[in-house]
Amino acid sequence: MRHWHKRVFFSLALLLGLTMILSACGGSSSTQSSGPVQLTFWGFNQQIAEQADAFNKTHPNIHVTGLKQPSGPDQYYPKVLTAVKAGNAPDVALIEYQYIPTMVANNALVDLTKYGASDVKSQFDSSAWSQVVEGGAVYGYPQDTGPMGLFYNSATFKKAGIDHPPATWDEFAQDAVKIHALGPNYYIVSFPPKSTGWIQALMWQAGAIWFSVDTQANAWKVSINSDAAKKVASYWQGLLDKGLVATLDDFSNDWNAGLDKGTIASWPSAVWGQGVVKGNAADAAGKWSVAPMPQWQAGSKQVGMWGGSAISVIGGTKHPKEAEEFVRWYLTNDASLQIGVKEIGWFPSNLNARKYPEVNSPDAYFSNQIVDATFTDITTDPNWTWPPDLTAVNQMMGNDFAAAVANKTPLSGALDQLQQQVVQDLKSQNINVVSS
Amino acid sequence: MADASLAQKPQASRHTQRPREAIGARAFSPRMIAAYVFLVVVTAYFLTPLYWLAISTTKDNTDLFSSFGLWFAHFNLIQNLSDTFTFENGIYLRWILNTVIYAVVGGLLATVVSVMAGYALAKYRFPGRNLISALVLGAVLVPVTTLALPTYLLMSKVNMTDTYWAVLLPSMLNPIGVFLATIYARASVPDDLMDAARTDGAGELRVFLQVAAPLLVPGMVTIFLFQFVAIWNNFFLPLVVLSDANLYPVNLGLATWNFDPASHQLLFNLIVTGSFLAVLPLIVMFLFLQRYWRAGLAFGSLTG
Repeated sequence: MRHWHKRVFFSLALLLGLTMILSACGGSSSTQSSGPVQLTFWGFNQQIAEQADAFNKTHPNIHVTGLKQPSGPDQYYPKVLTAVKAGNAPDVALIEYQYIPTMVANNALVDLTKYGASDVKSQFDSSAWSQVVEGGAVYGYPQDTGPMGLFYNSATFKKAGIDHPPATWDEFAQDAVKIHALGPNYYIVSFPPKSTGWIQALMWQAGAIWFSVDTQANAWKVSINSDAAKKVASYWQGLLDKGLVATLDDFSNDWNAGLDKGTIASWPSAVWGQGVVKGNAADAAGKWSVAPMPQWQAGSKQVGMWGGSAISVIGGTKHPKEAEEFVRWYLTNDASLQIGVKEIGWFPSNLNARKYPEVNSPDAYFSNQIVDATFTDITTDPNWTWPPDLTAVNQMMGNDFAAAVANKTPLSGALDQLQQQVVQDLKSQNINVVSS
Repeated sequence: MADASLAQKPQASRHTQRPREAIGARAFSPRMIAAYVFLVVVTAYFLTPLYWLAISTTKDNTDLFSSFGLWFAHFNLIQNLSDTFTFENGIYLRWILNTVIYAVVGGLLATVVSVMAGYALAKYRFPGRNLISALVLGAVLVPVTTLALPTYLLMSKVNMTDTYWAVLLPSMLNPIGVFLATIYARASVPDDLMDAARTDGAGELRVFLQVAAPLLVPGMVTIFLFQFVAIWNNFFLPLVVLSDANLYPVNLGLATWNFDPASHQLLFNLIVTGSFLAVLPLIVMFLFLQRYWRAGLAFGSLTG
């Protein structure tokens, strides 16, 4: 028996020793020596390491490590939030605009007003800047934006006897009839029921503000089924009922094939959509063109935004001042902006970078149009606000819209249902809500 | 009929007394034909995605979407391969290497732990044995994914996130492995043999290493295979505990190449090529070790 005890004691000691060695290994890699301030930066592109290196060369007191992360929203934001809770979040991270309120609701972002945000405000496009402001606080600086325009296959349009892109949604509906007349497989566009960001951008354009903050009641106001929203829903309902639009998910195989063959004749999309069109429909060079977004009122230039990101300082950082210095450099210094615009493909929020030749040169694929110019001459409704529980909202929204389209029930019903679900979800998280 | 009998193994006809016609007739009875057809359909069902993947590695982004999925278009394989291996400074090779390290080292460690624990549970009587066995069995029912976040919080407490250990340590523990090892040790290591070794003066460690362990080898290979595949496919744990792309396994790395508007990149052809290359090692391993894999499945059917 004594024999046994000795052995157990020995193995326990061994185990303990092993654990200590292991934790020492782990510890040494992340303990900071008394050199420059160490910052980590999370983003979605490999090039962020290159940008960080350029910063480190000119800033001997700060060392930034850029780490590329998987960009899927279901993976990235939970990861950031968990890291914040565990106390080892990055100091700086890319946050898409639509997730800023969600992050703020989790106390995950640092307000930059006290670190000099007002000094840099004038260097950014004002519609982009309005996306990082919430309740007077500035939760990051705007990197790039996603204003909407209309990519269309001019060859298909011509075949249908249409010689100019639709300037209004009324005209768009008339063109839809002509294009469907080309054949049963021809559609002017696909209405992608699960593409939440796309539908939200259409709502935004129509002035259907889904979320806002009622400062007096200190509550979130939810108006998903407002009259303005129902107007957008009934417009698309009309096209769906007549079978004039496809209902393929965007970025799906069939959808990509439709773009390539010209049977899906247009795609209202954000400025970054040019890369998608070019990459997927490489054979269709010269057929695709870009036009301003169709309007609800002829002559206006109102659009919504689909995508775009801010660079934010993450709550819990020990070095907010240095982190802000990096963010400021990252989005105002030419060395970084050039990599962002040329290599990553930003449509920059920085006004200086908007003057780069890459943003202003004709594109042979799009018949020598200056694509980005279409996305500069726009206005956006600054009142659009994202909800504090976007992950849940989008999940419910995708289900509701997909069900409505699949079962051929009215989209306006999906809006009513979503309104109820969202109010309930916010209440269940003890967030004050007023609905209208 | 003559052709049909050729399909039979020569030994079979030599050692049986039945007439040739009878053998042929048996092999081609309607039931057999139905079984063959069924198996062919099932095989095709399982192999079609793999076939699609193989064909797709030869296509560029445009052809991926515009050409017929199950046949070739412009042959772009060489370009895809070189792009896959050179994109982002050739990080793909690093991801493959990481996956191999995680799966091989993690699988070996898990096998050692499982076999030692399973052997102890099967062969020693000590207070709390039944409780521990029950806990292990209960742990089998806990999905690994639910443990990823607590694991992450523990790892971050000891500053071990973003190290190889963050993936390897949790991968060392495999309740199913312990369970299988218990069953296997109970069935294949006779108590008499152990007693004989003890009578000859062998200590417990020696009994385990030199008497029991060799008998447990087939079980070890099975456990290793199970854990190897589990680690190879594990996505959520590395996603949570790693943020340095240089430490990513290949599945997580490929996910970072996936298209998302915010990332501005369109790399479908690289993802497809990368995925195909990443399943090749698994296929090769299965072909060589399928005997053990089958044994493992039979275990499950007998005991589970």
